Formats: sequence, structure tokens, C-alpha cells
Amino acid sequence: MPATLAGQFDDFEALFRRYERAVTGYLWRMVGDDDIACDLAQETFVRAWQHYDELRTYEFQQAWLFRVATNLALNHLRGRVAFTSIADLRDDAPQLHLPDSTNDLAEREVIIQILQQLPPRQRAVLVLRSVYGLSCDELGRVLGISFEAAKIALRRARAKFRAGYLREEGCRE
Amino acid sequence: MSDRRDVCSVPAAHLSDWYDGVLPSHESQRINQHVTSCPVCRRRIDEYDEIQRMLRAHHTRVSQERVWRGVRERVLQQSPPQTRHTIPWQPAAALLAIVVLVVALAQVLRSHKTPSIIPTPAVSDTQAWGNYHHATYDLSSIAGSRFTPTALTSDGLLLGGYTIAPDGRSATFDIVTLATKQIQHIATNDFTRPGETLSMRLGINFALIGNEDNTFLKSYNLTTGTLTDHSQDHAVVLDAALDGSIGTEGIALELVVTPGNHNVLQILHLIDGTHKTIATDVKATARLFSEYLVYQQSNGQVAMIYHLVTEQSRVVPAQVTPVLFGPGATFRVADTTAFFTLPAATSHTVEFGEVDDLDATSASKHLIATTLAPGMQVVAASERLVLLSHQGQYFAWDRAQQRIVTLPEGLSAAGLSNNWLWLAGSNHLTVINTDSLPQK
Repeated sequence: MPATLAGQFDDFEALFRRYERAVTGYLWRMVGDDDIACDLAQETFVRAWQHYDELRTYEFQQAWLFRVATNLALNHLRGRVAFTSIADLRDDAPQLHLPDSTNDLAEREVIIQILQQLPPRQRAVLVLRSVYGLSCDELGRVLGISFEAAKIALRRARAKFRAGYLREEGCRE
Repeated sequence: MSDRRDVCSVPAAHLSDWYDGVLPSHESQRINQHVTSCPVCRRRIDEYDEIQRMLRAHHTRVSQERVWRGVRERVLQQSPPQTRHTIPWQPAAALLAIVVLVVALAQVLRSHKTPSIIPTPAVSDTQAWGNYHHATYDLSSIAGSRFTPTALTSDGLLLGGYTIAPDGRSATFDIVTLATKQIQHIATNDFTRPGETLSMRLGINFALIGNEDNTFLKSYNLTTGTLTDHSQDHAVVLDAALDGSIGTEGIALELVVTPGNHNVLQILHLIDGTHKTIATDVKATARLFSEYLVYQQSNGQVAMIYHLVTEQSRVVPAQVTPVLFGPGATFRVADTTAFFTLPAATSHTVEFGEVDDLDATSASKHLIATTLAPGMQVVAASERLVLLSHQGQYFAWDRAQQRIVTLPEGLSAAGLSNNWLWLAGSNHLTVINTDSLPQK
């Protein structure tokens, strides 16, 4: 690798180290699976490298990474049935998604499960806002939606998450 | 987290906006003062904090090194990052690009004035969707052969409906948890006359049940199990919204006829039973669409739209007939052709967005279907589907596949609840997860 490129690669690695936890953590909350989150995070940073010449000049690098990660997550989810898929509710299927009172699910699993019950865009705004502190303006930019739409999605996401949590709590009691 | 339902005048959606710092400063200051003395809001803020804590508390188990190994390996196999090149003739190219854009824009605008009519492909049955995620339930084994489904919750878990007694003199309202087949009895209505038309709506937190003349009207809080009687309100319930950000409280739309024969439109907050007057002298055709309330003044044809969250009213643009608001679409039905308008037909975000700006929706029209028959009704809309009915036959207009799918014959009812399409036959219920439908 030429010296200039090696230097650029070192810079890129620094960018990776700075934002990787946020990107992978976000993707894990979006898709609810460690392995898939890992694959999508890798894809996000490979694309970051492909556009590194521009990206390194950006003021809001994290927003760019979140946007790419969001698109990858939404594309992935589009091809996948919902976590609370109706197959789980079929008469002849085991009741996988419902909390089992005899099996005390860890909070981690419950949180991920409730998140997966939210529509993907609502999931994205709730996680980006609550975990990574993005403003509604930033949410709009990341998701390609208006400020108003981001605000409404956030409201709904929070209300649904709360309702989902209460339902889970009720089922566990 | 608590499921207590104490009363406070500040809607949860409003408090959520305050929590996110998106309220205007004067309103934010008002809520600042309010929350210091309001235990209901304080508790809800604590819940928001708790949600934030829970979401932050847990992390992926994927190590950074594992991600880095994959990235490094792929990056080293690739060529260097793309470099932007400076083009010496950039100004000329920019000018040329502007000219091309202007010409293209002019053509687009011209085409909007006279939209070309392209027949929408129609397919005969739901098999056209291929393998989609669905489940069929034998309703007679769950709730009895006389159970009539009327509503499904937006998460596809709870089914609401009623059963008319064998003597035809009463009906019981029930909610079925589809996964467990558990039946939750809500209330019984003794008919004031045979064959009453019954209705039931089901939301995140509330079920609203009633009969055609509102002599029987009750709301049922799904969380607390509280049944509240609203039949003494002396108002006609026109519509109800039990879902979404406003629906966490539950809102019913009422019309009160005053002694002077004027219609007063008001909303009823199911959680605390309070009323709020929206307008006077209105026609009795008001409807709720998500967070929007559409009504007409009795002295004119102009439709008004009221936003329940911001409490702002405005005139609906003349070119938009508010037949139905669904996520991302405002429908206009004219003769045999159905249109819906989009804020920006070229933007992929619109299809899955919210209708929150009527000015934007009036900017362009996008033809979606031309094979609709006269008299066809638009029943409901979701991000993916538009449910239509014509002479007892149901159809789904698939917005992703751009075609009309004919649903099975003999359905007694059908509906859309968020991303669930439900089809009720005489003794069975089929629930389809619309997220699982193929895109193409």
C-alpha cells in the first residue's frame, strides 16, 4: 500500500474506532440480531471507505454513517418477516414471541423484542433519539423525512414502546 | 413502568414533544411549570426516562475487533476510495444541467395537468402475491360460530367482535387474543330493537363499542379493564381514533345537535371523559384520519381540517377531496377514476411518510388506479395497501406492485390495521402480514 494511502487508511481506522460502537449498536437494535448487525456494520464501513475522500471532509460524519446504516437496515428488514410474524400466532406454531411466564426473559431480550414490534422507521427514530441523542432535525436528515414526520414518528414510537412494555409486563405478572 | 391512568389535561403526545424539545418556547415554558406540580406528567416523564435508560443499557455482543476484521479484509481487497475530479468545463456543464432540469421540470408540470390514463393491472386472487405470511383461524373454535369480527389491533394480536344471542335480543362484545385464544368479555348490549347495527373499534389502549343510535356506547380500557359508559353524553358519535399518538388516550368524535338545530362538533377524550368543542354549525359528516379531523361547515362546501395535536385548523385545498387519509396519501375519488395525491411523487420517503402538510400534498397528483368501478368505496389505507369494496366484493390496491388484487369472495368483513390485512369469512379469519408481501 502506498504511503499516502496507508496514511489515509490509518485515518479511516480512526474514524472506524470512533463511530463503530454507535453504528453496530444502532444496527443491533434495528435488526435484533448480533450477527446481522455485524454484517451490516461491516457493509456500512466498507461504503464509508468507498466514499472516504468525501466523508473525511464532512462535519457530520456520524449522521452520514447512520444514514447508510439505516438504509441497509431498512433494506434488510424489508426482505424479512416481522419479528412478531403471524406464523408465531398460528394455531399449529409454538408461541415464540409472547413472553412466557415460566421463562423469565432477560430485560435485554425483552427490549429487543419490543423494539422489533415497532415499524422499522419508528424503531430507527426512537433508538437514534434515545440512545444517540439525535435531534428531530437530524433524524429527518438521517431518514430522509421532514422534521414534522420525524417528530410524529418519535411520538408514536415512544407510545408504542411504552404500550409494548406494559403488555410484556402484564403478561409476565 | 405503571399502567395507571390518572387524568391530566396535557396530552401524552404533547408531553412527548416537550420531552424532545420540539415545542415552541412559550409552550415549552408552560409545560416546564406544569410538570413540576403534575404527578401524572411527572410519572410519564419518569417512564420516558426509563425507556431511554433501557434502550441505552444493553449492547450488542459483537466485538469491535470482529467488525474491524471484516471491514479491513474487504477494504484491502478493494481499490482506493473514489476521488472527486475537478472538471475544467464545470461551469458550462452546470449551466447545461440547469437547462436540462428546467426542460424536464416543465415537462413534468405539463404531464401533471393532463395525467395519462394507464389501466391498472388487476389480478384475480391473492395467490398473485405468492408466498406471504398469513394465518387462518377457525373462529368457531375460538369464539363460537356466531362471532362477528369487527376490528384488529394495529399489532395484529387482538381481535374484537360481537356475538348475537340465539334469541336475537342482545349481543356480547368480546376481545380475542389470537395467540392464546383467550376471550375477554367486555359488555353485553340488550337491543332496543331487533337487528341493531353494532360497531366496535379497537386501538392500542381502548376499545369503543356502540350501536347505531348511540343508546349503547361504552369505551373499554384494555390496560386497566375499566368500562366507561358514554351513552349519557346525548351526542352522536361520528368516528373514533384509538391508535397512534393521540390514540394512546383515545378520542371519539361527537356531534351534538343544539336546540337551535345547530350541529356542534366536539371531541371526547376517552381517558377522562372530557369534551372539547372544535366547531359549530358543521355538517354531520366529520371523520378522523389519524391525527386529522376533517369536517365541513354547514354553510359551504369548504372542508376544514383540524390537527388534534397542534389544535390548528385550516381549509383543505379545493383539489383534494378528503375521502380518506392514510399514511402518505390523501385520496380523491372522481367518477370511475381514483387518484391519490402525494407530497412529492418522486420521493421514496413519501410513500411511507405521514400526511402532515396539505400544501405539499396539493403540489402534485399521482395516478394510481384506473380500473375502479363506479361506486367502489375506499375502505381503508395503510402504507402498503388500499382496501376497496364494491358490491360486497373486496379488493386491495397494492401500492408497491401497482396493481389491484381481488380478495376471496364471500367475506363478511375486511380491514387494515397498521401492517395487517384481515379478512373475515363466515367462520374463519385470515390475517396477512403486509410486510411479508413481495415488493414486485
